[in-house]
Amino acid sequence: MHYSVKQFIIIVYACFITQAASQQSNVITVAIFDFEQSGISELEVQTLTQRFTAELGNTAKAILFDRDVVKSQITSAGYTMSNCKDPECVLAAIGDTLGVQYIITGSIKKKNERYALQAVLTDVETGGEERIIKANYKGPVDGMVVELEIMAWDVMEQDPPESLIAKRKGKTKKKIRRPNVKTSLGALARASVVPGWGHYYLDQNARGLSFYSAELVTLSLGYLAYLDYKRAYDKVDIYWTKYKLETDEDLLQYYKGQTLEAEDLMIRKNSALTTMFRAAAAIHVVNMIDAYLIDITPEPLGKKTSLGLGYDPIINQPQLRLSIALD
Amino acid sequence: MFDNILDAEYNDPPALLFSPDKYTSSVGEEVDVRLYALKVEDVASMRARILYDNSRLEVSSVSQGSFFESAEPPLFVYDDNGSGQLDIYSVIMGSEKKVSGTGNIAIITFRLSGYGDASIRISDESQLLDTDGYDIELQSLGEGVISAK
Repeated sequence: MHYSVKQFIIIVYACFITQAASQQSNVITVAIFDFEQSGISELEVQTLTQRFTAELGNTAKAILFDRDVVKSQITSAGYTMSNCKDPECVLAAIGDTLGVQYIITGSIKKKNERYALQAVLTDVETGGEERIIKANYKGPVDGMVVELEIMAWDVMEQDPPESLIAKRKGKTKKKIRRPNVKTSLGALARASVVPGWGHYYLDQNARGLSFYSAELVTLSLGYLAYLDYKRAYDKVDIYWTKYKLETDEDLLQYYKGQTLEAEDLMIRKNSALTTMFRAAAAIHVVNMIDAYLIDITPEPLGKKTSLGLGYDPIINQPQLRLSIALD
Repeated sequence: MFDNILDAEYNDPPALLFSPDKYTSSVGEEVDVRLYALKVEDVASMRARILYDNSRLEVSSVSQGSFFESAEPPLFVYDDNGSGQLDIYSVIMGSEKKVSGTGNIAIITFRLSGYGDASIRISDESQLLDTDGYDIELQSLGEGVISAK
């Protein structure tokens, strides 16, 4: 594989900015791929992707990976930029060889006056979708471009500038999802299934273990009380049956006494059983409330420390990369 | 809950009762109904008059229970004319002359001759007598049902 001096400089520059990025707080390196299109031409989608890219650069939260390097890598993997636009294909093509932290893929679909826009931010290392922005827009085409630019800010979780918002036209319905972001509802749902799971989900392992253990102990005691209750119940049944069938007066009174004694024990065990299960229910509810109320501070993108080994096809050399977020 | 017929707290003694008081069998089959005295005192003799549904039941046999047994066997006779009324007489013999407590007086074997529920009842003409021949007042008199399938 042969590369020009220009490409070599670009690579060096890319590596430089990647390193520089790690020295800035919450700044990530991103490679943007041409969006998929429907109802518009390839040329149009490339132009729109460039507008999106330019606006992403304006957020000052992303270091954009050079398009030529990305294109070269895609091509060397046997694809073209126009037929490799979805995250699976892109990740298969580039892997983590380029050292880029995130990729952005998307789509622009037009039908009559309606546009369906989508941008997906994917973590290269995990392959997980970090943010999905979907917008349905109805109106003139220049309004659609504004929506696309606003989406660039949404992807970086930044408030778009007032000047951009002022340009909005038409009607837009937007949906932002963060599949990998931990939520209070997610914690609540897990805590409702297994006590402590919600805390574990939020990395509150010690608290989670406390709730889990408390519930386990209470339920175990409840189960033991249930076994005692069942034993007493069986005794009541046995003695009462004997009482019913007995014709000897003394034995009849004896079985009656035994029945009453076992019944008394049964009531006490039932009371213990009820108390234990109420306690377990209370622990479960407290666990759910506690999991729900835990303060969740979302981890900013690019905060993770990562160590990666890859092969750079451009310089034909293996690479060992260490990325540490510095705050 | 504590509804054993022979439980003195469930039935007022002294009493003449059937235990158990419910039976189930098939037509043509026989059922042994046990007649009991409950918490009686100083009884020397007795007559138990049992009224039964003769359209569904026939008396096959009557045998004495253990209650009036002593060193000598008791006098024990019964009379059934098939009209639905069975009389049982028993007198304690021997030196003791009287008996107290709860016990089985007789075992009446009925043959089921018709379908449905047949009632059996101890009549208030039944008597317990002490050694002087005086009536001992009965507080409870038993009733029962024999169901024929």
